[in-house]
Amino acid sequence: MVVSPWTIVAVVLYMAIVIAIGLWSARRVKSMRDYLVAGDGLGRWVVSFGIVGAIVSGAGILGNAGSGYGTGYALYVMTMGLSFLGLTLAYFLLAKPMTVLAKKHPVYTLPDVLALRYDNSRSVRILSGLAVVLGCLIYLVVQFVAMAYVGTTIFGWSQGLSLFVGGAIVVIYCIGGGILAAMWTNFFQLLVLSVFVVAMAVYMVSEVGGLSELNQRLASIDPELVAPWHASGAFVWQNVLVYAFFVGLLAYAGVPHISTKFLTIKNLEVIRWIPLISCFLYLFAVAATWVGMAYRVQAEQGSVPAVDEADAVLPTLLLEAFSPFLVGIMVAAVLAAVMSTTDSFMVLSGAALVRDITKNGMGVGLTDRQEMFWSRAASLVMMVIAGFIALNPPEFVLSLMAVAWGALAAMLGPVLYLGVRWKRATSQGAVAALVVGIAIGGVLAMLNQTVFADAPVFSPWNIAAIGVAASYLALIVVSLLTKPQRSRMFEHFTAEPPVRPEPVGSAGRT
Amino acid sequence: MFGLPTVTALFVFGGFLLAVVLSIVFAMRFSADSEEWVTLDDLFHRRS
Repeated sequence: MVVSPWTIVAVVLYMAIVIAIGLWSARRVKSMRDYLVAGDGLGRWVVSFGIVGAIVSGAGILGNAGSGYGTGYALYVMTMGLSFLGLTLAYFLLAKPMTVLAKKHPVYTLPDVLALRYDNSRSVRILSGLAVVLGCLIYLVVQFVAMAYVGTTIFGWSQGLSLFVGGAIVVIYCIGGGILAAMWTNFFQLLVLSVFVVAMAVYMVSEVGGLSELNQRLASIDPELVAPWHASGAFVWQNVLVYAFFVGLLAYAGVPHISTKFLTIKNLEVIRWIPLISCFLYLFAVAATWVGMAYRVQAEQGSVPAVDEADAVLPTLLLEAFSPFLVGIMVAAVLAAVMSTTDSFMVLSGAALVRDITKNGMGVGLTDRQEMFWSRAASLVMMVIAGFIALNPPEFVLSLMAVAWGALAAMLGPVLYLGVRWKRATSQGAVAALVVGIAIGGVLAMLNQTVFADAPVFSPWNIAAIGVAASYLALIVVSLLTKPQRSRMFEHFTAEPPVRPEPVGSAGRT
Repeated sequence: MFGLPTVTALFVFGGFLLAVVLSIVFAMRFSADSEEWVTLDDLFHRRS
């Protein structure tokens, strides 16, 4: 495939900007606190863009357009129908506690927060660290597959070259700057992505005569395209509602790339408008769904070529309909979505391996500088492993993407949500919840390859959602059966007596 | 709404609109002065 020089110019320009942001951020990173929580000093716009930018992945953008084309509204209802409420609920429940904790204690990761909450339990720390590593690895593989998809379909590169270039750029801009780089690049990347997706959606929907006309035409092609769920297959009502309720609503921010961003918030006042800003940013970013639907209508009319594979809608549309420079900007936007998710998982996975499992879980002594060095090294290793897996991905890798969010939510959501909002939760309850969440929502869901099989009850979608419910249940039951514990998380409450003196070296930072 | 069946429209538009309304209410009522937060235990104690 011959790529226009203008396309290359636009992509290179985009890459240069994110690398410049990364290098600028790296100069400001002096400690683990800077590296993992950006010195907990970010404002409402950067936090909102950073969180939504991390949520909206490259595979998600390609997948949203593909699902709009292939399944209509059912996948949207399943994964997004209650997610706006789920994200809002996450802000309501978690943003304030996480912000306060980041000021009072040296908590930089989700396992740090859980260990603080659950009596400094080593089991809680190691189990949650393992859950983060497992979830991050899956996400990294999927993002690498999306990078390779863009590289091979748009540029005609080999799979290996696409992975190497994409991975190297993420490493260059983020390995030095950590979460600070991730948040600022996400700000820029989501800006590019939102403008691109909204412009595309408005253009495509207006081409078919508006939103009402689009929906009527979809219904005339196949009434199931506008139905909230399908009569059979993966999108039957049980799957759609169970996933939407348990994963989309009740454990949405269990995923570490959202919850740990709350630790970067500068002060409590910043929280006030973040939910509202995020709602609109999220809507802009997922508007690719309507691009896919409009493409389906046009394809049925014969005005655009049909695609063999639903996920190829966006690349096909780009190459068919736009000028080379615009194609370059749009490719950059898709890459932006890929990279803005990859960077968070790269940093979090390295931190989980070194800080949560090795240093605090296994008790290996590391200074702040050593911890930062080894976290970066571990992040690099995780990127290389993910890249190698993505070179020859298992057939079910995209199915894994479909359940990865649910798996992370099942593994980490209940212990976090109930942990900060229910004082009666105990460390034994947390261990039970983590074990159940990892076993059902994580391992079982990922081993099950029947995502699009006809037995919906056993599909990984459902299993991840069932994992959320089972994990909540385990936490509640085991906590009520065990002796109440007081937690350092609540010791600053006026009615709460101090639990015990702070350990040496972990003094508060207020 | 917009040519969609009612249930689909409820999920697609209703979920977003409800989230926006709740976010505005949250912004109006949010207190940045206190470092404490409401827990389930507080709710149960108030009722008992």
